[in-house]
Amino acid sequence: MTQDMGPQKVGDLDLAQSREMRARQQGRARMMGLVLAGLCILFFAITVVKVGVWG
Amino acid sequence: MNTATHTIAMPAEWRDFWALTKPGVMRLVVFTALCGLLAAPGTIHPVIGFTAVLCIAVAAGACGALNQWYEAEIDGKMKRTAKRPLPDGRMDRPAALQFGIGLAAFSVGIMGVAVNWLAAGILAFSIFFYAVVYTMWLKPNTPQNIVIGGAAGAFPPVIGWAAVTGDVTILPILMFAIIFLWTPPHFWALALFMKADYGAAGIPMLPNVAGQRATRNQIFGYSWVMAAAVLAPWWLGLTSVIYGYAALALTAGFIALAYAVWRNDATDASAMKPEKRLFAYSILYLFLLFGLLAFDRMVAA
Repeated sequence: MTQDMGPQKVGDLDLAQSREMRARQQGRARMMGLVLAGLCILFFAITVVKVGVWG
Repeated sequence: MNTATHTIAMPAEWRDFWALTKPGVMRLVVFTALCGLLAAPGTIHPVIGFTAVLCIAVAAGACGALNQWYEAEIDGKMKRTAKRPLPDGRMDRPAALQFGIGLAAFSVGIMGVAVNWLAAGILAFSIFFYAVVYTMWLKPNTPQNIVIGGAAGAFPPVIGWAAVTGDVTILPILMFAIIFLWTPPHFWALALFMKADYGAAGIPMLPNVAGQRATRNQIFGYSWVMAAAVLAPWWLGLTSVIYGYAALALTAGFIALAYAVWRNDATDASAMKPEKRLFAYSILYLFLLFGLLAFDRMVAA
Protein backbone atom coordinates (compact mmCIF):
# COMPACT_ATOMS: atom_id res chain seq x y z
CA MET A 1 0.00 0.00 0.00
CA THR A 2 1.19 3.48 -0.69
CA GLN A 3 2.06 5.96 1.99
CA ASP A 4 -0.63 8.30 0.79
CA MET A 5 -1.60 11.33 2.74
CA GLY A 6 -5.35 11.74 2.49
CA PRO A 7 -7.06 15.02 1.86
CA GLN A 8 -8.28 15.55 5.42
CA LYS A 9 -6.29 18.61 6.35
CA VAL A 10 -5.72 19.36 10.01
CA GLY A 11 -3.62 22.01 11.59
CA ASP A 12 -0.88 21.33 14.13
CA LEU A 13 -1.51 17.98 15.71
CA ASP A 14 -2.87 17.91 19.21
CA LEU A 15 -2.53 14.84 21.37
CA ALA A 16 -5.74 13.17 20.17
CA GLN A 17 -4.88 13.71 16.52
CA SER A 18 -1.37 12.46 17.05
CA ARG A 19 -2.77 9.29 18.64
CA GLU A 20 -5.24 8.88 15.80
CA MET A 21 -2.51 9.19 13.19
CA ARG A 22 -0.29 6.72 15.05
CA ALA A 23 -3.20 4.27 15.36
CA ARG A 24 -3.89 4.45 11.61
CA GLN A 25 -0.23 3.95 10.75
CA GLN A 26 -0.02 0.99 13.12
CA GLY A 27 -3.20 -0.52 11.72
CA ARG A 28 -1.87 -0.29 8.16
CA ALA A 29 1.53 -1.64 9.17
CA ARG A 30 -0.08 -4.62 10.92
CA MET A 31 -2.32 -5.35 7.92
CA MET A 32 0.62 -5.09 5.52
CA GLY A 33 2.57 -7.50 7.73
CA LEU A 34 -0.28 -10.00 7.67
CA VAL A 35 -0.64 -9.72 3.87
CA LEU A 36 3.11 -10.21 3.34
CA ALA A 37 3.18 -13.18 5.71
CA GLY A 38 0.26 -14.72 3.83
CA LEU A 39 2.00 -14.18 0.50
CA CYS A 40 5.21 -15.79 1.81
CA ILE A 41 3.23 -18.89 2.79
CA LEU A 42 1.37 -18.91 -0.54
CA PHE A 43 4.51 -18.51 -2.67
CA PHE A 44 6.24 -21.23 -0.67
CA ALA A 45 3.27 -23.58 -1.22
CA ILE A 46 3.12 -22.77 -4.95
CA THR A 47 6.85 -23.43 -5.30
CA VAL A 48 6.56 -26.76 -3.49
CA VAL A 49 3.64 -27.81 -5.73
CA LYS A 50 5.40 -26.65 -8.92
CA VAL A 51 8.60 -28.54 -8.20
CA GLY A 52 6.50 -31.61 -7.48
CA VAL A 53 7.47 -32.41 -3.90
CA TRP A 54 3.82 -33.14 -3.01
CA GLY A 55 2.80 -34.16 -6.52
CA MET B 1 10.36 32.74 14.96
CA ASN B 2 8.55 30.87 12.25
CA THR B 3 4.84 31.06 12.92
CA ALA B 4 3.65 29.61 9.61
CA THR B 5 0.97 27.01 10.10
CA HIS B 6 1.78 23.70 8.50
CA THR B 7 -0.95 21.28 7.52
CA ILE B 8 -0.86 17.57 8.15
CA ALA B 9 -3.08 15.03 6.42
CA MET B 10 -4.33 11.85 8.03
CA PRO B 11 -3.26 8.65 6.29
CA ALA B 12 -6.12 6.49 5.04
CA GLU B 13 -7.02 3.49 7.19
CA TRP B 14 -6.55 -0.06 5.89
CA ARG B 15 -10.32 -0.44 6.06
CA ASP B 16 -10.62 2.28 3.42
CA PHE B 17 -8.40 0.28 1.07
CA TRP B 18 -10.54 -2.77 1.78
CA ALA B 19 -13.71 -0.77 1.02
CA LEU B 20 -12.11 0.32 -2.26
CA THR B 21 -12.15 -3.31 -3.44
CA LYS B 22 -15.99 -3.53 -3.19
CA PRO B 23 -16.02 -6.68 -1.01
CA GLY B 24 -19.76 -7.23 -1.60
CA VAL B 25 -19.29 -7.57 -5.35
CA MET B 26 -16.19 -9.69 -4.81
CA ARG B 27 -18.21 -12.41 -3.05
CA LEU B 28 -20.28 -13.15 -6.16
CA VAL B 29 -17.21 -12.98 -8.41
CA VAL B 30 -15.29 -15.42 -6.21
CA PHE B 31 -18.25 -17.78 -6.00
CA THR B 32 -18.88 -17.91 -9.76
CA ALA B 33 -15.14 -18.35 -10.40
CA LEU B 34 -15.05 -21.21 -7.91
CA CYS B 35 -18.05 -22.81 -9.63
CA GLY B 36 -16.32 -22.54 -13.01
CA LEU B 37 -13.27 -24.17 -11.51
CA LEU B 38 -15.28 -26.99 -9.91
CA ALA B 39 -17.41 -27.59 -13.01
CA ALA B 40 -14.35 -28.05 -15.25
CA PRO B 41 -13.27 -31.57 -16.15
CA GLY B 42 -9.92 -32.68 -14.78
CA THR B 43 -8.19 -31.87 -11.56
CA ILE B 44 -6.19 -29.00 -10.17
CA HIS B 45 -3.95 -29.04 -7.12
CA PRO B 46 -5.80 -27.35 -4.23
CA VAL B 47 -2.96 -24.84 -3.75
CA ILE B 48 -3.07 -23.84 -7.44
CA GLY B 49 -6.88 -23.77 -7.38
CA PHE B 50 -6.81 -21.53 -4.31
CA THR B 51 -4.25 -19.28 -6.03
CA ALA B 52 -6.45 -19.02 -9.13
CA VAL B 53 -9.52 -17.99 -7.09
CA LEU B 54 -7.40 -15.58 -5.02
CA CYS B 55 -6.08 -13.94 -8.20
CA ILE B 56 -9.62 -13.56 -9.54
CA ALA B 57 -10.71 -12.01 -6.22
CA VAL B 58 -7.74 -9.62 -6.23
CA ALA B 59 -8.49 -8.68 -9.85
CA ALA B 60 -12.10 -7.95 -8.85
CA GLY B 61 -10.69 -5.75 -6.08
CA ALA B 62 -8.51 -3.97 -8.64
CA CYS B 63 -11.57 -3.32 -10.79
CA GLY B 64 -13.41 -1.90 -7.78
CA ALA B 65 -10.51 0.40 -6.90
CA LEU B 66 -10.03 1.63 -10.48
CA ASN B 67 -13.79 2.15 -10.82
CA GLN B 68 -13.93 4.22 -7.62
CA TRP B 69 -10.84 6.18 -8.64
CA TYR B 70 -12.46 7.16 -11.93
CA GLU B 71 -15.96 7.77 -10.55
CA ALA B 72 -15.04 9.60 -7.34
CA GLU B 73 -16.95 12.74 -8.32
CA ILE B 74 -20.01 10.81 -9.55
CA ASP B 75 -20.03 8.71 -6.36
CA GLY B 76 -20.15 11.91 -4.32
CA LYS B 77 -23.43 12.87 -5.99
CA MET B 78 -25.20 9.59 -5.22
CA LYS B 79 -26.62 8.75 -1.78
CA ARG B 80 -25.74 5.07 -2.22
CA THR B 81 -22.05 5.76 -2.87
CA ALA B 82 -21.36 9.08 -1.14
CA LYS B 83 -19.84 7.37 1.91
CA ARG B 84 -17.17 5.57 -0.10
CA PRO B 85 -13.57 6.44 0.89
CA LEU B 86 -12.87 8.86 -1.99
CA PRO B 87 -16.05 10.98 -2.04
CA ASP B 88 -16.05 11.01 1.77
CA GLY B 89 -12.52 12.46 1.76
CA ARG B 90 -10.89 9.60 3.66
CA MET B 91 -8.41 8.89 0.87
CA ASP B 92 -6.90 10.74 -2.07
CA ARG B 93 -7.34 9.71 -5.70
CA PRO B 94 -3.71 8.90 -6.62
CA ALA B 95 -3.59 6.38 -3.76
CA ALA B 96 -6.69 4.63 -5.13
CA LEU B 97 -5.22 4.55 -8.65
CA GLN B 98 -1.88 3.16 -7.45
CA PHE B 99 -3.67 0.58 -5.31
CA GLY B 100 -5.84 -0.54 -8.23
CA ILE B 101 -2.96 -0.81 -10.70
CA GLY B 102 -0.88 -2.67 -8.11
CA LEU B 103 -3.63 -5.22 -7.45
CA ALA B 104 -4.23 -5.70 -11.20
CA ALA B 105 -0.55 -6.30 -11.97
CA PHE B 106 -0.20 -8.66 -9.00
CA SER B 107 -3.26 -10.75 -9.89
CA VAL B 108 -2.38 -11.17 -13.58
CA GLY B 109 1.30 -11.86 -12.88
CA ILE B 110 0.67 -14.50 -10.23
CA MET B 111 -2.11 -16.12 -12.30
CA GLY B 112 0.28 -16.44 -15.26
CA VAL B 113 3.24 -17.78 -13.31
CA ALA B 114 1.39 -20.08 -10.91
CA VAL B 115 -1.63 -21.23 -12.94
CA ASN B 116 -1.50 -20.68 -16.71
CA TRP B 117 -1.21 -17.80 -19.15
CA LEU B 118 -4.59 -18.39 -20.84
CA ALA B 119 -6.34 -17.76 -17.51
CA ALA B 120 -4.03 -14.78 -16.91
CA GLY B 121 -4.80 -13.37 -20.37
CA ILE B 122 -8.56 -13.59 -19.86
CA LEU B 123 -8.13 -12.07 -16.39
CA ALA B 124 -6.13 -9.14 -17.82
CA PHE B 125 -8.73 -8.60 -20.53
CA SER B 126 -11.59 -8.67 -17.99
CA ILE B 127 -9.86 -5.98 -15.87
CA PHE B 128 -9.30 -3.86 -18.98
CA PHE B 129 -12.90 -4.41 -20.08
CA TYR B 130 -14.34 -3.38 -16.71
CA ALA B 131 -12.02 -0.47 -15.94
CA VAL B 132 -11.68 1.05 -19.41
CA VAL B 133 -14.46 -0.20 -21.72
CA TYR B 134 -17.26 -0.23 -19.11
CA THR B 135 -16.31 2.39 -16.49
CA MET B 136 -14.67 5.01 -18.70
CA TRP B 137 -16.44 4.53 -22.01
CA LEU B 138 -19.82 2.76 -21.82
CA LYS B 139 -21.20 3.80 -18.44
CA PRO B 140 -21.11 7.58 -18.92
CA ASN B 141 -22.11 7.47 -22.60
CA THR B 142 -24.85 4.94 -23.33
CA PRO B 143 -28.01 3.57 -21.67
CA GLN B 144 -26.90 0.16 -22.95
CA ASN B 145 -23.89 0.37 -20.58
CA ILE B 146 -25.13 -2.53 -18.47
CA VAL B 147 -25.81 -4.79 -21.46
CA ILE B 148 -22.30 -4.66 -22.90
CA GLY B 149 -20.61 -3.98 -19.56
CA GLY B 150 -22.21 -7.12 -18.15
CA ALA B 151 -19.51 -9.05 -19.97
CA ALA B 152 -16.95 -7.80 -17.44
CA GLY B 153 -18.69 -9.64 -14.59
CA ALA B 154 -19.24 -12.74 -16.72
CA PHE B 155 -15.57 -13.67 -17.08
CA PRO B 156 -14.85 -15.23 -13.64
CA PRO B 157 -16.32 -18.72 -14.33
CA VAL B 158 -14.49 -18.80 -17.68
CA ILE B 159 -11.22 -17.94 -15.91
CA GLY B 160 -11.91 -20.59 -13.26
CA TRP B 161 -12.51 -23.17 -15.99
CA ALA B 162 -9.41 -22.11 -17.96
CA ALA B 163 -7.33 -22.40 -14.78
CA VAL B 164 -8.12 -26.13 -14.65
CA THR B 165 -8.22 -27.14 -18.30
CA GLY B 166 -6.09 -24.55 -20.08
CA ASP B 167 -8.84 -24.14 -22.69
CA VAL B 168 -12.35 -22.72 -23.12
CA THR B 169 -15.20 -24.95 -24.38
CA ILE B 170 -18.98 -24.63 -24.75
CA LEU B 171 -19.95 -24.93 -21.04
CA PRO B 172 -17.79 -22.01 -19.79
CA ILE B 173 -19.13 -19.97 -22.72
CA LEU B 174 -22.67 -20.79 -21.55
CA MET B 175 -21.72 -19.83 -17.98
CA PHE B 176 -20.47 -16.55 -19.41
CA ALA B 177 -23.75 -16.11 -21.32
CA ILE B 178 -25.84 -16.77 -18.19
CA ILE B 179 -24.15 -13.97 -16.21
CA PHE B 180 -24.07 -11.71 -19.27
CA LEU B 181 -27.84 -12.06 -19.77
CA TRP B 182 -28.60 -12.00 -16.04
CA THR B 183 -26.88 -8.63 -15.59
CA PRO B 184 -29.42 -6.36 -17.41
CA PRO B 185 -32.54 -7.47 -15.47
CA HIS B 186 -30.52 -7.43 -12.23
CA PHE B 187 -29.14 -3.91 -12.68
CA TRP B 188 -32.19 -2.41 -14.35
CA ALA B 189 -34.33 -3.52 -11.39
CA LEU B 190 -31.90 -1.57 -9.19
CA ALA B 191 -31.85 1.36 -11.64
CA LEU B 192 -35.65 1.60 -11.50
CA PHE B 193 -35.85 2.20 -7.75
CA MET B 194 -32.58 4.21 -7.69
CA LYS B 195 -33.57 6.31 -10.71
CA ALA B 196 -33.30 9.63 -8.87
CA ASP B 197 -29.79 8.79 -7.64
CA TYR B 198 -28.52 7.89 -11.12
CA GLY B 199 -30.25 10.97 -12.55
CA ALA B 200 -28.53 13.23 -10.00
CA ALA B 201 -25.16 11.74 -10.96
CA GLY B 202 -25.85 12.18 -14.68
CA ILE B 203 -25.39 8.49 -15.51
CA PRO B 204 -27.55 7.57 -18.52
CA MET B 205 -29.19 4.46 -17.08
CA LEU B 206 -32.06 3.03 -19.10
CA PRO B 207 -34.93 4.26 -16.83
CA ASN B 208 -33.57 7.82 -17.01
CA VAL B 209 -33.10 7.78 -20.77
CA ALA B 210 -35.78 5.48 -22.21
CA GLY B 211 -38.31 5.65 -19.37
CA GLN B 212 -39.60 3.18 -16.80
CA ARG B 213 -42.04 1.38 -19.13
CA ALA B 214 -39.31 0.65 -21.68
CA THR B 215 -37.02 -0.58 -18.89
CA ARG B 216 -39.69 -2.92 -17.51
CA ASN B 217 -40.27 -4.31 -21.01
CA GLN B 218 -36.54 -4.91 -21.43
CA ILE B 219 -36.29 -6.59 -18.01
CA PHE B 220 -39.06 -9.02 -18.92
CA GLY B 221 -37.62 -9.69 -22.39
CA TYR B 222 -34.07 -10.26 -21.15
CA SER B 223 -35.36 -12.62 -18.45
CA TRP B 224 -36.68 -14.99 -21.16
CA VAL B 225 -33.44 -14.88 -23.13
CA MET B 226 -31.53 -15.51 -19.89
CA ALA B 227 -33.82 -18.48 -19.15
CA ALA B 228 -32.85 -20.06 -22.48
CA ALA B 229 -29.14 -19.68 -21.66
CA VAL B 230 -29.70 -21.08 -18.15
CA LEU B 231 -31.42 -24.21 -19.47
CA ALA B 232 -29.04 -24.71 -22.43
CA PRO B 233 -26.44 -26.77 -20.48
CA TRP B 234 -29.21 -29.27 -19.64
CA TRP B 235 -30.64 -29.34 -23.19
CA LEU B 236 -27.14 -29.87 -24.62
CA GLY B 237 -26.51 -32.79 -22.27
CA LEU B 238 -23.71 -30.99 -20.40
CA THR B 239 -25.50 -31.44 -17.07
CA SER B 240 -27.94 -33.94 -15.61
CA VAL B 241 -31.58 -33.55 -14.60
CA ILE B 242 -30.45 -32.45 -11.12
CA TYR B 243 -29.37 -29.14 -12.60
CA GLY B 244 -32.13 -29.19 -15.22
CA TYR B 245 -35.13 -29.40 -12.89
CA ALA B 246 -33.64 -27.16 -10.21
CA ALA B 247 -32.69 -24.52 -12.82
CA LEU B 248 -36.19 -24.76 -14.26
CA ALA B 249 -37.78 -24.11 -10.85
CA LEU B 250 -35.40 -21.27 -9.95
CA THR B 251 -35.85 -19.64 -13.35
CA ALA B 252 -39.64 -19.91 -13.11
CA GLY B 253 -39.34 -17.85 -9.92
CA PHE B 254 -37.17 -15.30 -11.73
CA ILE B 255 -39.64 -15.02 -14.62
CA ALA B 256 -42.56 -14.65 -12.17
CA LEU B 257 -40.82 -11.76 -10.40
CA ALA B 258 -39.86 -10.18 -13.75
CA TYR B 259 -43.52 -10.49 -14.78
CA ALA B 260 -44.56 -8.65 -11.57
CA VAL B 261 -42.09 -5.89 -12.50
CA TRP B 262 -43.51 -5.76 -16.04
CA ARG B 263 -47.04 -5.38 -14.64
CA ASN B 264 -46.04 -2.66 -12.19
CA ASP B 265 -46.60 0.93 -13.28
CA ALA B 266 -45.29 2.66 -10.18
CA THR B 267 -43.11 5.71 -10.73
CA ASP B 268 -42.26 6.29 -7.08
CA ALA B 269 -39.47 4.19 -5.56
CA SER B 270 -41.55 3.48 -2.42
CA ALA B 271 -44.12 1.62 -4.58
CA MET B 272 -41.51 -0.51 -6.35
CA LYS B 273 -41.65 -3.64 -4.23
CA PRO B 274 -41.60 -5.97 -7.26
CA GLU B 275 -38.39 -4.30 -8.49
CA LYS B 276 -36.77 -4.62 -5.06
CA ARG B 277 -37.86 -8.28 -4.83
CA LEU B 278 -36.44 -9.06 -8.27
CA PHE B 279 -33.14 -7.38 -7.41
CA ALA B 280 -32.79 -9.31 -4.15
CA TYR B 281 -33.89 -12.62 -5.70
CA SER B 282 -31.56 -12.24 -8.68
CA ILE B 283 -28.52 -12.32 -6.39
CA LEU B 284 -29.74 -15.44 -4.58
CA TYR B 285 -30.69 -16.94 -7.95
CA LEU B 286 -27.20 -16.62 -9.40
CA PHE B 287 -25.60 -18.08 -6.25
CA LEU B 288 -27.96 -21.08 -6.29
CA LEU B 289 -27.73 -21.63 -10.03
CA PHE B 290 -23.95 -21.72 -10.18
CA GLY B 291 -23.78 -23.78 -6.99
CA LEU B 292 -26.12 -26.30 -8.58
CA LEU B 293 -24.17 -26.36 -11.83
CA ALA B 294 -20.91 -27.07 -10.01
CA PHE B 295 -22.58 -29.69 -7.80
CA ASP B 296 -24.14 -31.43 -10.79
CA ARG B 297 -20.85 -31.58 -12.67
CA MET B 298 -18.99 -32.85 -9.60
CA VAL B 299 -21.56 -35.61 -9.04
CA ALA B 300 -21.33 -36.59 -12.71
CA ALA B 301 -17.54 -36.70 -12.53
